[in-house]
This record gives sequence, C-alpha cells and structure tokens, in this order.
Amino acid sequence: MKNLFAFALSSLTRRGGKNFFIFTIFALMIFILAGIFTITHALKAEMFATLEALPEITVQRIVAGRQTDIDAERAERIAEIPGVTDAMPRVWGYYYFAKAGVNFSIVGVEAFGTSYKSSLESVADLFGEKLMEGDTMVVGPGVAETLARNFFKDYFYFVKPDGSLKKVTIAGIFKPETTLESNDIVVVEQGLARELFGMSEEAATDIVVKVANDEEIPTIARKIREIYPDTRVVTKEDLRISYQNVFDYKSGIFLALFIIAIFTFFIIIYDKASGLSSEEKREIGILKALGWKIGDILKVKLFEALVISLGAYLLAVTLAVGYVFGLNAPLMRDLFMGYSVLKPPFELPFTLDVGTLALIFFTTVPVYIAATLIPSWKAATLEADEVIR
Amino acid sequence: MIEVKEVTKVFNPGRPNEMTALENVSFEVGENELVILKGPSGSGKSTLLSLIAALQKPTFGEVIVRGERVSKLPEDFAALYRRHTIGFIFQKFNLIPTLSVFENIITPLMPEKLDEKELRARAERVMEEFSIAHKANELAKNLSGGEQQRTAIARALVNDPPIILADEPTANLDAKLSKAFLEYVHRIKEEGKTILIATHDPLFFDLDIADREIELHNGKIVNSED
Ligand SMILES: Nc1ncnc2c1ncn2[C@@H]1O[C@H](COP(=O)(O)OP(=O)(O)OP(=O)(O)O)[C@@H](O)[C@H]1O
Ligand SMILES: [Mg+2]
Repeated sequence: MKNLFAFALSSLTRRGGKNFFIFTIFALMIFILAGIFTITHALKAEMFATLEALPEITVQRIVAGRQTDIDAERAERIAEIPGVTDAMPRVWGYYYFAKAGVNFSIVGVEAFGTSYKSSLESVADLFGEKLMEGDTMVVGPGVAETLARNFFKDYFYFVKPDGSLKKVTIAGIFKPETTLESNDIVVVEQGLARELFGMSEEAATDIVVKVANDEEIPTIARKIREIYPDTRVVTKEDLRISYQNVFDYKSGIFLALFIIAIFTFFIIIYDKASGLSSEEKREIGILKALGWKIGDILKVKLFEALVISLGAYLLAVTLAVGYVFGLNAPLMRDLFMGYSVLKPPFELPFTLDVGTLALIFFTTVPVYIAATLIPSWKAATLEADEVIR
Repeated sequence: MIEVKEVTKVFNPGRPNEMTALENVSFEVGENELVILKGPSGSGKSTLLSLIAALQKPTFGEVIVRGERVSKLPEDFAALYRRHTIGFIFQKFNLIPTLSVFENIITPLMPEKLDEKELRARAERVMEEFSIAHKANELAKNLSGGEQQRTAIARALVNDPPIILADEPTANLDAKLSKAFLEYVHRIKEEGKTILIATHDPLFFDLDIADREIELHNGKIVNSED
C-alpha cells in the first residue's frame, strides 16, 4: 500500500505539467466557489448581527407612499398601549457633504447631559468639556478624517435646508474599535438635529417601540396601525424575513450558476480523462503483465486522483478562508455590497459555512476521482495484451 | 513444468474479422528447459506466450503450469500467478520511460508488502548481476539499447520467478548486443530457470544451449524436435 502510494506520487511528478495544470484549474474553481459562499455567509452573519441590534418595532409615517416626519407626541399615546415598555421618537437622517461627495449619518440624541457624557466617554475620545458648550457633535473617525481633509479640524459649517450656515463644534471622535457602526456617524442633540434637517420642533423621523414580551409584537404592531392608520409599522421579524429572502434568492442564483459551471468543468475533465493517452494505456498494460492486479492499478490511480483533487480542495478552501477573513476579501466584497464610500474596510465576522463547503467537496472531489478511475478501469480490464505484441 | 494442451485461440469469433491465431497447439516444456519458439511474423508466437502468462485465455484447450490450470484463473489470481511465476521480457523491452532504472526494476515488487530495505536489496542483486547498478538513477528513456536490455532482464528476474518468457528479445538490438543477450540467457538457464523465447532471429536457431525448437506456422506447430 505504502509502495503503491509512493508509485502514485512519482507517477504524478512524471506527468508534472499536465497534473499541475489540472491541479491549478481545480483549485482555482474551488477557490472561487468557496470564496463566494464564505463571503456571503459572513455578510449574512454580519447583516443579522446588525439586525439583532435594531428595535423590536419601528413606526414610520407614510404620506403619498413615502416616509415622512412623524409627530413626536404620538410616542406618548403608543407608550400607553398595554405591553409596551417604552416608545421613543428618533431624529436621524443623512447629510450630503457635497465637497467630498459623501453622506454623513446624523443621529439626534436626547441631550448631551452629564450622564450621557460618561457613557459617551467609553466609546469616544472627548475633547474636554466642549461637549457641554452647545451646538457640538461627536463624529466617527471617517467623518473626522473627511472634515480634516477639507480643513475643518475643530468645527464644521453645515448648510441648512434654507441655505443658511450652522457652525457646529467637534467635541469628540468615536474610538476606532467601533468603526463599523460609527465611522460615518455624526451624533448631535435632537434639537440641533432638527435644526440641521429643517424639521419642526414636534417632528421626529420615526418612533421606536420596546415591547416586554416578544410574543405580543404582532398584536401591538396591529394596534398601532389601528390607532394611526397613516403609519407603517415595521417589526424586526418583518426585516428578518425580507433579509432572509434577499439572501436566499441571491445564494440560489449563485448556486444554480455554479452547479452549471461545475458540470461544464467536469464534462471537460471527463472528456480529457476518458481518452487515456496511448502512453498511459501502455503503462497499464506493462503493469498488468508484470503481475499487478487491476485493483493495484486502480489504487495507484485513486491515490493520484486523491492527491490532486483533495489537495486542490484543501488548498483552495484554506486560501479562500484566508482571503476572506485574513485579507478581508478585496474585489469580491465590493461585488457583493455597494457599501457607502465612507464605510471603512471592516472585518468580516469569522463564520464558516460548513454545509456549503461540504457541498462543494461532494460535487468536485468524488466526481474528479470517478472521472479518473473509470477510464483507467476500462483500460485495465480489457485484455492488456497489446504490450506484448 | 508447462503443459499446453490442444490450445486454440480465436480472435473476434463470429465476426467478419475472425482470426484463428492458434489451432490445436499442444506441447510440454520441462523444468530448466530452454525452448525456442520460432515462426514467421503472425504465426502466433506472441499469442502463445500471452496464454502461458495468463494475459489472455484460450478459446479451447488449457494451459497448465506447475500443476495449476492457469488458463482458468480469475483475473486477480492470474495477476498473482504472473507476479510469482513469470518473468516477462518484452519486445522493445517496454520499460516505463519516465521512471529510473531502479524504479523500473522494482515495479513488479510494488504491490507486495516489502519495506524499502528489502526492495533495495532485491533490486541491487539483479542490477549487479546484469551490470546496470551504475545507472540505477538514470531515467529509462536516457538509456542505450544495451542498458535498456539489461534493465528489462533485471526487471523480469527481480521476483525470482521460475519461468522466463521472452518475446523477440533481440528484435531491436544490433548483432553485438544480441550476442550479449545470448550470454545472459545462458546464465539464467544455469540459475535453473525454465525459458521460452519467441523469435525469428536466426541467432537462436540450432543453439547448443537450447533444448528444443518449436516452429509455428499459421497458428499450427509444424515441427517439434528435441
Ligand atoms: N488482440 C487481437 N485481436 C485480433 N487479432 C489478433 C490479436 N492479437 C493477435 N492477433 C492476430 O493473431 C495473429 C498472431 O499474432 P501474434 O502476435 O501472436 O503473431 P507473432 O507470431 O507474434 O508475430 P510477430 O512475429 O509479428 O510478432 C496475427 O495475425 C495477429 O494479427
Ligand atoms: Mg509477436
């Protein structure tokens, strides 16, 4: 057995060029497949992790089919619904910084009070007491960098919807560890946020609702819709389902595409392998005449095929995992997400889609082995008398 | 040692290209005999050797080697029989060109459970005997005709089989190397092997060391003299 394996290895190196070519194609295909599936899996995990952080219920007002400002006082009425523990109006939106061609996400918080300051300190580097001086903001590192590049080191002039300017002082920068969530963010007091967006005093962007018992979410969502028929009530469950659908749809397409690709690939491989070269046939004949059993010959062929296909598979999967999680999947990631310009090169969470990797394994390695063994088996079972004539 | 009993071999029976390569051939070869199998091209010499080596099965009749009905052996047993009983020297030698001399010689031993040391020892013995040890690591395709010949003989003997079959062993050799081959045959016979050489090279006719000549014509034995 050991000797046959050694024979197989030397036989592989003897036909080095051809085997190297097959190995490379094989590994490349598996690398692409494994890369795509690993990256979608990681992105999906990332999406759902973000989803987890979302509020249970979000209430938006819809006018003419579009979301618009909602009356902040409605939060008080919603809070009275039995089962609701809290209802909070939020003020947030995007600010387009034309000079740099990027969007900032402006988030309004209730007030930069002393209590707020201490919790901010854990996630941001604050510039002394500036925070309390009014008209201040805490920005993500991406925003700070973009502003600094445009010569706004300490403050920034926002252009309000009426065209007038509003000077806001930078009071702190979020720490880099929280980049994914905060890189493009600008946190200001709600009042200031309303002013920057040109919203009226009572208006909010939406209302988020906390619910004590998850089971009651559908009931509470329905009640809110009854009280305010002009609202759209989005539950986390709705989002989860729509995310899931998007991903299942996308992965489905990829799966179909790649199964087709795999088949084409193996038709080519099979085509090649089925026509054993006369040199290979002759070799099989010699081995038989020298007292090798058909099984011995097939074992050697099996070892050869295993070294190529299993070797290529393991190498390609390792490379793909390294590419996605080590290098953060340059090129491929951009294919899968149109991330806003400011989004930093965030780290993909490390999750392996073992099921899909196994699927790739079973659609490649055994098929390749079969495609190698069948023609050899044919050549070995036919009366191998040609060599002695 | 070898009994060929009323053997007939028909290729493609029942088809338009039906071909009777051997017809009712019978003879015996005793232990340590050297038998020359002669006859023109297409007379069935190679076919006869392959039947004795159990590489093919006769259409009728049987081949018995050392009391064993080898013409009836299932494939795996036929392989074991070849491995342990037959040493084959092919026309054109049929070395594997991309393997070294050493690797070619140990090829018949590969399916056996032998350790590296044993493999080396066995190969060394035959390589010394046929003066090819100095080329042990040379690829077969880079060998001269004489070296190929010696490698092929060493490979046939590495398993120490009792029977050596040679098919046109001098067809691709010049006169000098053919003579050298005769020397080797002599030596192998003295080791006690039974040898069957299929050839139409006159060099082998009326040899002192040959015990017998069997002549084939169109698949039939035309003479069998002692
Ligand atoms: N596998 C086969 N299929 C069909 N015909 C075959 C096969 N093997 C041999 N023959 C035919 O059988 C006849 C005898 O062939 P064989 O090879 O035994 O002759 P030979 O005496 O060895 O000739 P040579 O001196 O040319 O080697 C030839 O006519 C050959 O064409
Ligand atoms: Mg012949």
